Amino acid sequence: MPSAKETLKPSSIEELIKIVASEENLVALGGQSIRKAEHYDATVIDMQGFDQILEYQPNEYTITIQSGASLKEVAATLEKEGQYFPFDPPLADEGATIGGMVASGLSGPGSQRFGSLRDFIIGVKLIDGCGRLIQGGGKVVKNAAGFDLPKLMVGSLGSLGVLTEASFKVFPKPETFVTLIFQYERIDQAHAQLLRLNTSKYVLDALDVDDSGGLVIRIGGKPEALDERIQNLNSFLGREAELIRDKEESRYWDRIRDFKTLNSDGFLVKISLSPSKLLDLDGILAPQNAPRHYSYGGSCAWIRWENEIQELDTLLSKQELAGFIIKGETRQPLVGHLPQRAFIQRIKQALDPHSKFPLLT
Amino acid sequence: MDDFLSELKSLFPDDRFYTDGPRMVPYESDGLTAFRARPKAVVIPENEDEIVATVKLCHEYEVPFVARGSGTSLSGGSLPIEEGIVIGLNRLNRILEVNTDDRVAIVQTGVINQQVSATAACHGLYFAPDPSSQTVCTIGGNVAFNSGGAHCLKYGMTSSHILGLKVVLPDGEVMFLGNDSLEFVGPDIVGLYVGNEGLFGIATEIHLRLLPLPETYRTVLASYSSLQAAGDAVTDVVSSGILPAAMEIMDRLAMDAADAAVHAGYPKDAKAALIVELDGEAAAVNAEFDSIIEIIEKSGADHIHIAQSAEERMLIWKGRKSAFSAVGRLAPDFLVQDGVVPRGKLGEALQSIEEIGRKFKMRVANVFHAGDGNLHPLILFDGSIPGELEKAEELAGEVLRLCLRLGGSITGEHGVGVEKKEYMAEMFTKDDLDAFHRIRKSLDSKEISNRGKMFPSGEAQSLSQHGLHPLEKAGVISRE
Ligand SMILES: Cc1cc2nc3c(=O)[nH]c(=O)nc-3n(C[C@H](O)[C@H](O)[C@H](O)COP(=O)(O)OP(=O)(O)OC[C@H]3O[C@@H](n4cnc5c(N)ncnc54)[C@H](O)[C@@H]3O)c2cc1C
Repeated sequence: MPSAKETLKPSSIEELIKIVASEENLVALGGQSIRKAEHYDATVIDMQGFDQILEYQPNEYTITIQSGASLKEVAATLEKEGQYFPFDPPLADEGATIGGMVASGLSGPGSQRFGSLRDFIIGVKLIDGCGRLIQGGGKVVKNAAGFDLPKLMVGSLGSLGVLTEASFKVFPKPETFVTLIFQYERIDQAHAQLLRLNTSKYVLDALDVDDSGGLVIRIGGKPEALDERIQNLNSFLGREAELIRDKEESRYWDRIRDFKTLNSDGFLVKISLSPSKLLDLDGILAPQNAPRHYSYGGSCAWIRWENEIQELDTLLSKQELAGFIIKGETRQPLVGHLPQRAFIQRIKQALDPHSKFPLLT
Repeated sequence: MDDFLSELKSLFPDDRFYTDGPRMVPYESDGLTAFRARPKAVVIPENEDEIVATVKLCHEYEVPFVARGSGTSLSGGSLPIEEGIVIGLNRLNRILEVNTDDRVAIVQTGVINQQVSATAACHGLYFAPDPSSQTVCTIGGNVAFNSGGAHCLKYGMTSSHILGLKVVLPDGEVMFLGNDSLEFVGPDIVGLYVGNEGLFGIATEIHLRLLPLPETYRTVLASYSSLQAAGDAVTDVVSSGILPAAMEIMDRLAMDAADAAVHAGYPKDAKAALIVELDGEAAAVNAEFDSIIEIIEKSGADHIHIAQSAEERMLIWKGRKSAFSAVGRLAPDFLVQDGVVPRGKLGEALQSIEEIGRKFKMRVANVFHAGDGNLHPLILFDGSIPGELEKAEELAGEVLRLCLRLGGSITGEHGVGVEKKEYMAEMFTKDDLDAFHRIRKSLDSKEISNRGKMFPSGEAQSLSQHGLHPLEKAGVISRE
């Protein structure tokens, strides 16, 4: 097992730049909700000293935050103004930071409504592998100047630079949410309805399927319209939903968002998916008894994998699917079919020519 | 004919390879008509193999190329350079597949934006990005420029709607980026590719995300006695917790022009008009729309017109969408800018633009995407008077600097291109630009893909012609 060489905790950008310029083998970490320092055979940069919300203007729908700030605190700040990150970022309770959220590229069930993290990040600042502070994007909701470094940083897992701050678009939070559960006997029945809903006129805040055949729908908006909308969904699906409301409702999604419903100690893996491939994937995972949950209208799966990760890599490659290991010790966080490795290598070479940061693939 | 040209010629039949004659003329300029240059050659490939062969040849001989869709770029993005060639992509215009289960359309690069929605409509789906040039501009151009439209606040720009891309990199290597999923694994290189302004080679096949058509639209037009009052109403809507699909403002000059062009019926005495539109599921939208109307009633509007039918809604939008080119009727020439400011600074920005206009003694009309702070000041001038174009450009430059000073951007959707490249150094630091440059070099070691764009260079372009885009003159498209 590798172990971190040492941990440095810079408190200013200048210090951070000095570290990047002088050290060789580096990894930046935030709240370690995903990867722990001891998983790396590298010098760890603890980013938790950069924990400020730099600018928040509710009327602009924008917020600029340092990368070490805790997601939980940021979410609470937004909540006070009746706003939220609509992409529902996971693991806030486990100490996720803004930097970790961006680097891991994780979004939650709420992505169904307005899109995922990539659709809400509008600006970044980072220290590249040459020890230079660079920015991309900006602080306004619409901006087409320069290459889109903000999106590039999403899912980059610290391989391209040390993120110091990021700006996001945020939205007003719906006044009320209600959750509808339609329980089917088999997952293929739930999946058939998921496909129908994805192309329907119904505007859903989440559309998930669990491994028991449950079709889970979240809708949000003005309370006076909700009853009618529930009725409409009941008649569209031809059955009566079990309803969850209020505190219980938000707790329900907290558990899903933080992967608490996947009871197992295996590797926690996100698999990027298209709705039409969902059943094929499920057909492979079910015999292995891997707990699994499908979210974002069938665009992603979260699973627990108890066997060798190499086996999953092979299975996913065969299906032309790719996965990201959210939790579990591995040298190689990305598995499966990744035809764009060569492109990523070129970009990596441009931003981190001396390979100071972890390799991705 | 040099070696390069004769090899290039051997790749194409005569009717798809030109080096002179009137066929060249349309390729010498784009929507930014003040600039013009004659390329070495124009080629019109019909398939990916021809594109790859052309790009490989350019790479071998170090000859710059520019990909061209419909040539509607307003920032000189598809303008050629004299030592380079143009690769015209309009013939790659097939919609290859509409997959309703995954809500994905796979299209060739030269497909016209609006055709995607037209084709998807029978499945109840559409392609959300709606630049007002959508009846002519191509998906390839939209991808290269990360184009916008009136509905970006809620739906995002083009890049939120691209799932995958087959690309020919500037050295001829072919790759597929993305995975057809809305959820990526690894760095979001599709996100990086979109908005590259033609500097990362040529996208040949594009996988688009489609959305279900909204069940209903509710649209209101309100008029105010000042731009400030209209701007304040936008702030009220924004703080109400309701997310509109679009919020647009027009000033008096723009309304006059639009009225003259399409008889949109805008109130005659108003100084500003505000359009607010909601879309979505009827039950939800109707409840929200009641709140919106309440807010607008309280905001001091002089006149409130709620569209009662699809036709009335279309008329409101027709006026708005034609405002751009209609303004062109008020003067022989105009320049359009598309800087962005924080929404809360719209009032300040508009006032400053008015002052700048007075200082230069030039008229400036304003239509803008108020919801996302994206200004579109239209600077009116007469290019036949010596020095006027230069004066208009100087004025435009002051507006861009104003946007930067207020914390915004030099471009919201039209891109940097040739027109704004010198301002990149004011928006970004040397180190930022150097990082952009390293990324470019990693994909294009010889810098042949759309050379001369985006990066500040100091090379002056020769100014020779101006006026409306030929398609606008013909009334085919209008500007937003
Ligand atoms: C009247 C009018 C109204 C407009 N309204 C809007 C608006 O509302 N919103 C908005 O955002 N823009 C608007 N525009 C600008 C313009 O229409 C967009 O930028 C559009 O996306 C350009 O598409 P095109 O096919 O004309 O591209 P072109 O002008 O031909 O090319 C634009 C750029 O894309 C590159 N390119 C083209 N195809 C490819 C490809 N396959 N691979 C790689 N690079 C490629 C070119 O090299 C060039 O740099 C408007 C323009 C006009 C004239």
